Amino acid sequence: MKNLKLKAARAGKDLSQQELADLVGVSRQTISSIEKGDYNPTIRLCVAICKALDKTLDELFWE
Amino acid sequence: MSFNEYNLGVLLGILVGLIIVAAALSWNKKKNGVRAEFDERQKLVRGEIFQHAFIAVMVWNLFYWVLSLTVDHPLMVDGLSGLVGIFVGVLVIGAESIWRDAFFSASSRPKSYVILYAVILLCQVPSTILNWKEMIQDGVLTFKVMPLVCLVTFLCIFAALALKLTRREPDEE
Repeated sequence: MKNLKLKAARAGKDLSQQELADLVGVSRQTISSIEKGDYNPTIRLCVAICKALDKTLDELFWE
Repeated sequence: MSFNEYNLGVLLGILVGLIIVAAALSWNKKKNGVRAEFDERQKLVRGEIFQHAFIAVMVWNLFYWVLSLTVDHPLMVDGLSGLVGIFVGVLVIGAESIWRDAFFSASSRPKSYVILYAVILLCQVPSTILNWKEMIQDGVLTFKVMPLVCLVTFLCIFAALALKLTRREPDEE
């Protein structure tokens, strides 16, 4: 299932997938896979993404 | 194994290959000196790809064993099928990891590898042509076929890389 909340939060910060990937230390394709719902990130990466986007885990990853 | 010119050449080739790999690994560092690493998704995908490569090598060994049962003389000189098997594994790892975005670490720039693979590919062409007529001797495949095997392997990897780079999805969907 697509993670539209992550995509919206990233767009809200005016970040590209590459920029967010660089912030959290992963490849752009990994961010793309998370947004498309092809990959379930570990809690460590979820927290890193939340910190980069100033969001909570609930806001981005709770359905 | 006697150390004739051929064996010495093979050893020299392996040594040069190891030096190139060591140089590439050393070069592939971030500016702050931290070694480029695969991210968690890439590590997961690479684990699956290594399983596929293992299965591919097993299938190759089984295929060659069954094939050798159908004829009354050896199809390849001793040790060649094992060497071809290694290239089968390299092909699966290289092509599949490029295709699934798990070949380059987050800090790597894939386009810089296109030139490297093109050079490796072109290096195989002269040796393939030179060894062409001696690949099969008395109906048996000899080690002279290895440049062709290497050429095919890197051609497939290069094709996967070129296709992936030209079909790269836009940054924002």
